[in-house]
Amino acid sequence: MPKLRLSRRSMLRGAAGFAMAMPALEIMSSPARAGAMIPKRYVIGFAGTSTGFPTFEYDLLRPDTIGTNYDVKRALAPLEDLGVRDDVSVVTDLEIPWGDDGNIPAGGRSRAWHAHSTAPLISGVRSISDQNERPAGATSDEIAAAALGGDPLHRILPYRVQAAYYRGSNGDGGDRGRITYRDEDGTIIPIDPIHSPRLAYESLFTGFVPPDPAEAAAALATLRRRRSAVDLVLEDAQTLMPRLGSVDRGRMERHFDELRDLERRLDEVSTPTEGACSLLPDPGEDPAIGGAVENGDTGGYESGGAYSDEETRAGVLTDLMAMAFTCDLSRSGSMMYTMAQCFLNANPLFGAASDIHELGHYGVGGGEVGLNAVSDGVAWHVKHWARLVQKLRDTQELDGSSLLDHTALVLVFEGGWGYDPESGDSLSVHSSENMAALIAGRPGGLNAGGGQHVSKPGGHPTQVINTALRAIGVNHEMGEVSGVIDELL
Amino acid sequence: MGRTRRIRDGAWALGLLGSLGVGGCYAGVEADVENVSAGDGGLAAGASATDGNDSDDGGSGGEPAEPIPLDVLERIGDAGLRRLTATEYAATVHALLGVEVDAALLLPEDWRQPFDNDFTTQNPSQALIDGVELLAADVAELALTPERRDATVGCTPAGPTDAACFEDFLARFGRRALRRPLSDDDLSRYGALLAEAEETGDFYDAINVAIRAFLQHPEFLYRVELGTPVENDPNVFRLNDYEVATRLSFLLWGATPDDALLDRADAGQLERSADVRAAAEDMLLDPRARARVGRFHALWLGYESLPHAPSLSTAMQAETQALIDRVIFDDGMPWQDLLRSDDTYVDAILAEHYGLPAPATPGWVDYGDTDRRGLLSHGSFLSAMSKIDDSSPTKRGILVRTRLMCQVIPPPPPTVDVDMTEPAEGTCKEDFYRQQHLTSDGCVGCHALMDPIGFGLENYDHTGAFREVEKDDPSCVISGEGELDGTPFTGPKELSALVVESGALNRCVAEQLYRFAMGRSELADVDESFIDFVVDANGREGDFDFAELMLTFVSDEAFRYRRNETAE
Repeated sequence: MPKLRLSRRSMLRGAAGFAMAMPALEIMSSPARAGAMIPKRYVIGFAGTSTGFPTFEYDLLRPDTIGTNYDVKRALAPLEDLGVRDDVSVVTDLEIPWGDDGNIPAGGRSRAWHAHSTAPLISGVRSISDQNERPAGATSDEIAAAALGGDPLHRILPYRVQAAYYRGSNGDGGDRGRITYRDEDGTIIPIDPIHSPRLAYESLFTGFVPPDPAEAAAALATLRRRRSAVDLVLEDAQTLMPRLGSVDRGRMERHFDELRDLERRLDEVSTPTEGACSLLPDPGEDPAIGGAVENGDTGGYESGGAYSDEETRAGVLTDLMAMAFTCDLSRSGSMMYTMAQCFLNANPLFGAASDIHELGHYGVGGGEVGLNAVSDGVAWHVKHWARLVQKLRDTQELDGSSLLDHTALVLVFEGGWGYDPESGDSLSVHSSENMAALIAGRPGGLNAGGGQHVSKPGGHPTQVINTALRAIGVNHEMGEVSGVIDELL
Repeated sequence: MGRTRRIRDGAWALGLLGSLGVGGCYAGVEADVENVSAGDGGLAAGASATDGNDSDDGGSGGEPAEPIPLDVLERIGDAGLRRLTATEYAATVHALLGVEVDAALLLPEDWRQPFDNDFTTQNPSQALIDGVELLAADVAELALTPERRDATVGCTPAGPTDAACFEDFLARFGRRALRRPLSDDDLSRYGALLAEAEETGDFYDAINVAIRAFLQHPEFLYRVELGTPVENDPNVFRLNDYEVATRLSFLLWGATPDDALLDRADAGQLERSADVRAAAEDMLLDPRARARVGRFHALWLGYESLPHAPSLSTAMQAETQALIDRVIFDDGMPWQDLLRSDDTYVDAILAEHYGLPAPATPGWVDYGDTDRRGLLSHGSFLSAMSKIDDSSPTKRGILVRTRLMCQVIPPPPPTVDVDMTEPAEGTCKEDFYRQQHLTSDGCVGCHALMDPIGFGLENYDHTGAFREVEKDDPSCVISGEGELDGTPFTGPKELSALVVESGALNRCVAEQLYRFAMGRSELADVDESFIDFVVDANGREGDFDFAELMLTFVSDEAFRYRRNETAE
């Protein structure tokens, strides 16, 4: 008995007459019923930067106007440029509390700044300690993936735009390079992000076969080889597993779980001929990975160091995530635009010969120059996130509704501005006061009256994540952070 | 056993082809693998050279091995599944097929601790699985270009379905890839892939699938060690000869064993300490050993990747590698000579950078009467752990204390903003450090261990170039006066002498080598016992030979055993 899958993917497959053991379903011809089946999606975006500038008592993100038709300053200008302001709400005046080790409040961060706000922000659970940046709870993309179900081919899409850390050995930043964590029986496991656009593409479109018969034959032959290879490897699991010690067996079980998932994806062959679901152009080889540049090395920034064409990478990964949702290949994703304490070169992005982090430390100057540069850094993140919002809004589901009607997206920032308990400065960018978060989409009554600016003094930015989860029907509150932003629902 | 499973080879292919109305190429290839037992098939741990099947000293489910002496037992450390690092992956496929791939582009990053092979940080993920699959496809394609495929396959097929040539390839390549002989069952199952050639009429399509499968196999991707439980500790296992060969190869070459090493395993020539030592001595003659020892030093001392212009970075890395090659491999001099060398290997760019006479071609140049001597005066070392666009006396102190002397420096307390380290205008850097770090009760305890070391290297900037005044204020003349544990010094030459005399160096080098060899940064008591054993054998103080240290390491009986990890 074939498994009844009513996702868009299966509808497309049925409509294309190409399903493997997927019968054409009557429901597919009924837009009303199909509409009822349209799945919810979720995206968490992360920007590894604060939004303010030292000594300034304001930033260029927070609108002055409360409510709808809010004003857009420099950091949010892409919302206006891309025409999505009315689809996006801005929540400001948020705060992550802090405390010293042993006295960190619920949902709070440790006193140490860099990368220590990320853990409570994305998990809702207080920092482990001053020396540990890892979240102590699962992240919202994992929770959404588990709750939304539907058994899509990709349970989750953990994408990262920033290709490397760009300092020191130029690795991937360890916990600073990840925003997806899974709770496996109480152990929090970091999930490797996909930072190669080429790999993301190949992985996403594993089962897609072109409609042209000759091309289809070649693609199917390739799929056959891939599956034969994976089959053989999986067979050996039976021999290997019993002979391993218990800890190794646990590791290998996770490996084979992932391999079985690949096998499943190789099984699912489809020809995207319906609706907006289509095979995107091959992005080709990845841009080269840029080298590390140390702070203050203006020449290094001017010559293009600390940069791996993240502009192109962001574009490709955005397109892929949008198409993944369009084709119902996945329902949950994370888009880590930059790592915590982001050392990405700002020069190729908007002509500031420094990295994003140092912009907040007078990297290109102080005063308005510095504030503008920081805001341009924020705006770069907003632009790519807004582009995803725009693509989803402009993509139709089979029932004629917009994909954005069924998707909740959040963009959070590593910091805001205000008091820094490390230095004692009252107007520092090393601060989790005056934080902001963006939220887009229209499921579950979210943004029903259009995008608005909500000031929520004392609110926690993770409440915006809670709100997005609530909007897609996931009644889960993140870690120790309870409550939602009522005005948005 | 009650477990029953039937595997239909190419089940997916049947389904797919059936849906296309083609079908049939895999028909009848249905293997009954009921009652699979630990001793069956796949893992030919301890397999003989002739039959490819398990022998009595096989896997973890075999008969217990002889008891081992208590003193050996007490120095056998935990060993878990170790995934090949991106560097090891690339080196291994190069060794297997002669192709070059940049595995780091597609595989998840290996975390530096400071070594890149700590298996406790490795977690399987979709990114890993998909990256490995894509890499395998890339490698198969590169290996089967018309120019390369004869070398890859090793025989010329008489036709698309030349089973003999195919099996010959499987046996030869599979042995190298999985680092043990293939069992009859392996050969049978992989042999079924010839159906792909029947389907397409192209022999090399079957080879393509086989390469993909081998390169995704867990015994290729991971260093799987099973061994045989010893009689006096069920949690300790004696490795078979193939597993010993693999340990040797990845430690000394950073890649899979070659045929000669596997031949030794076939012949039982890795069973005794003397055998292992003999094999290791031969392996150290191979150029790959130089690269591997160089990589160990680069990861250890933090110069694997340098933040300078490529020409300068490359020259610095070549300088340090040349010294390592000469001291450890060419001249067989004490490791301490890395810190005492009177001359250095530079090209014109680096010589100019250092203010040394530029050679016409890259070569050795005498340091003369400068304060430079050995590795601590190399740009590679002096660049490591630089704070920003200048040197950091604190970080250089940390580098010397933690990496060279294996001492523990507590992290800064949470009330310290580590970004606020720039002196105010008009304040000299050294004065700033002394005021900020060495007068405050909360700071002086730790910074007194670090900063004075860095002060003694301050005449060398974050690129290793000599300077007499501070970068930001030419009126600030650098004293260059440092101190290590109460003894004053100036410059790398005098610091090197103090580090050598400190008595901490010999054990620290062994400790770092142990971390690198075992792929684990956190050490337990049994690990310390092994390290102490090796250090005692080579001298706790005074000069030691690094090659001899490695030989002692691999030829100790404990090297041929592993201890099962236990869940925390």
